[in-house]
Amino acid sequence: MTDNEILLEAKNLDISYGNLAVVFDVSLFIRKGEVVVLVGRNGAGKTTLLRSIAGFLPKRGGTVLFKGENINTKEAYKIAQSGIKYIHQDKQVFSDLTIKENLELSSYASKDYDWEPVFSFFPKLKTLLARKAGALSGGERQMLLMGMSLLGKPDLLLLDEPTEGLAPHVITDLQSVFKEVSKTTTLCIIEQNLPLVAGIADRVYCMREGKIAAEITEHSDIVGLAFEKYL
Amino acid sequence: MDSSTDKGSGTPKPSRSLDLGFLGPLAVAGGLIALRFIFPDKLSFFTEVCIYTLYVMGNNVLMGYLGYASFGQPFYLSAGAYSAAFFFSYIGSNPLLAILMSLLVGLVLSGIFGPIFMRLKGNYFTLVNAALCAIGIFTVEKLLIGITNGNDGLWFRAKIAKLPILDIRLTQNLFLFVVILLTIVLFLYRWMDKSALGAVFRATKINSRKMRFLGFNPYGIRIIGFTIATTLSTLAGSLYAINFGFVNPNLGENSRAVEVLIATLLGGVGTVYGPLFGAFGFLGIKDIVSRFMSRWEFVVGIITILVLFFFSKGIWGFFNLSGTNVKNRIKSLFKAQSTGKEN
Repeated sequence: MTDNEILLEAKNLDISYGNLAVVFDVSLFIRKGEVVVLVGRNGAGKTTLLRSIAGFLPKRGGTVLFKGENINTKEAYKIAQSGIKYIHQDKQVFSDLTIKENLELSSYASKDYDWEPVFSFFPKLKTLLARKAGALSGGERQMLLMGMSLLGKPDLLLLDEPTEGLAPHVITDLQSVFKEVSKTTTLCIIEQNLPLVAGIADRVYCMREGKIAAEITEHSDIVGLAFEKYL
Repeated sequence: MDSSTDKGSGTPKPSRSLDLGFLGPLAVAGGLIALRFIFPDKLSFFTEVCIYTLYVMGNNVLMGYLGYASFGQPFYLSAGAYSAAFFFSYIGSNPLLAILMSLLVGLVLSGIFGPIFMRLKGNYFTLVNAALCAIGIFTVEKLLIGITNGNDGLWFRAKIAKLPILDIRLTQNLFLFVVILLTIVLFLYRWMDKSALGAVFRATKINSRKMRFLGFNPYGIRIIGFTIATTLSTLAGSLYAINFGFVNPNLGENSRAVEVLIATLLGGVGTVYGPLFGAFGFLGIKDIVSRFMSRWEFVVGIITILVLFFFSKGIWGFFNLSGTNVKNRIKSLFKAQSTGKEN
C-alpha cells in the first residue's frame, strides 16, 4: 500500500493556546498512501496537533514539512490549496445551502468539477443533491464533508474523529469508504473506535499528555489492539 | 449556483430549463421608463430612486452578502460626490470623466481601507466606518475648506458639459442616462449573485472558518466585497453630484448612515432586486410623509419595525415568496385537474 515516500513530516512540534502549552516536542511522519491513526485520551493533544498541521493554530516551535516544503507559516487556506484537507470533528457544513451548493463551493475552491469520484464513494449524496445540508444526519454530513474535501484530489486528508456520534452501521459503511479512499488519498485520522482503528490503520501513533507515547507499526499489534492502553 | 448535475457525469452542467431571469434588469428599466411617463411630475424622484438604488446595492453587498453593517456608507457616497464636484470645479467638464474619477476614487479608498477594515469583526467594522464618516465630515467642512467651501458646498451645474449623444444636463436625459447605468449595473449584479462570487460571498457570511478548510481566503473575499460596495457608493455619489449640480457636507453626515441600512432592510437583504424596492420604499415614504410632518423619520421607523417583524425578507422577499406560493398553488391545481381526468 505504501511506497515509502514521506508525504508529511512534523519535527519537534510545540503548540500552545496562548500561554497554555498543549503539545510538546512531537515528531511524526506520514508516508504516501498510508492510513495513519492518532489515538489517545481526551485532552491528549490530538486535535491540537492536526489543527496546527492544517494551519489553524500557530506552532510555537518545530517544523512541518509537506512534500519537502516547510508549511509552518502558511495560512490555512494555502495549506488546503497545497493538498492537505482537514475535516473538523464538529461536522459543520453550510447548513443553509443544499448539498449541491456545498459541493459547488468546494469545486470553486479546488477547480475540480468532476463529482463522479465523490458519488462513487458516497452514492447517497447523488440522491440528496437538492436537500439542505442542515437537514442531513450526522453520517450524511460526514459523507458530504469527505466528498467536499476529496474534490481537487488532495494528497492528504486529515480527519478529526469522523465517526464520533455516528450509528454503528454508519461506522461500518465509513470503514469501507476509508479503505476505498485510501487507495488514492493518504489519510491521517483521529479515532477512538478501536475496531475501526484495527480495521483501517497501517500505523498508529498513541498520544498522551501532549506527547507521542508510542508508535505502533506491526500489523499484528494493531489488530491486537496494542494501543488500547493509551485510551 | 443555478447549474444542475447531469445524471451521467456528476459534473455540474448549466440548467436545461430556460432561465428568463436575465430579462429582470430590462424589465426594471422598462418599468422605470413607464413610471416616468405615468407620473411625469415625478421625474426627479425616479432619478433619485435610481441613484439611491446603486447606493443601496453597494450597502447590500456588505450587509446582505457578507453580513457586515456599515455606519460609514455616507462617507463613500460623499467621497464619490466630492470627486465629481472637484472634477467639475477644478479640472474639466465632461460628466463621464467625472464619473470615472469617482470610480477611481472608490477603488483607491477600497485599496486603503479594505485591507484594514475587513480584518475587523462585525461590530468593530460598523464603528470604525462611523468614525471614518465623522473624519470625512470634518475634512470637507474644516480641513479642506479652501477647496470645498465648507458648509456652503461646491456649485458647478453650469460647468457640466453636454455629452455628444445625450445631453444629461436636461433632467429627462439624465433620468434616461441613470436608468441605462442602473440596468448595466443590475446585469453585473445579477451575474455576481448567480456566479461563484455570489456563492462564495454568501458562504463566507455563513461560515468563514469553513471556507478556509476548503481553500478559500475569506479575508480576500471580504476585500472584494468591500471594493464592490465602495465603488457602487462612489458611483452613486458622482451621479448625485451631477443630478443636483452641487455638493455640501450634509451628504456625508453620520446621521444619514442609518438611512441606507433601513433602505437595504426594507427592500430585502442579500437579493438582486431588493435594493431597488428598498430605495423606492424608503424615498417614497420619505417623499409622502415629509409633506405632512417634518419628522418623517418617525413613520419610517415604525414601518421599518413592522417590516422587520412581519416581513423579515423585505419587500422583494415578500413579493418573491408570494409569487412562489401562487406558482405552487397553480401547479397543484393543474396537477389535481390532470389526476381527476385520468381517473
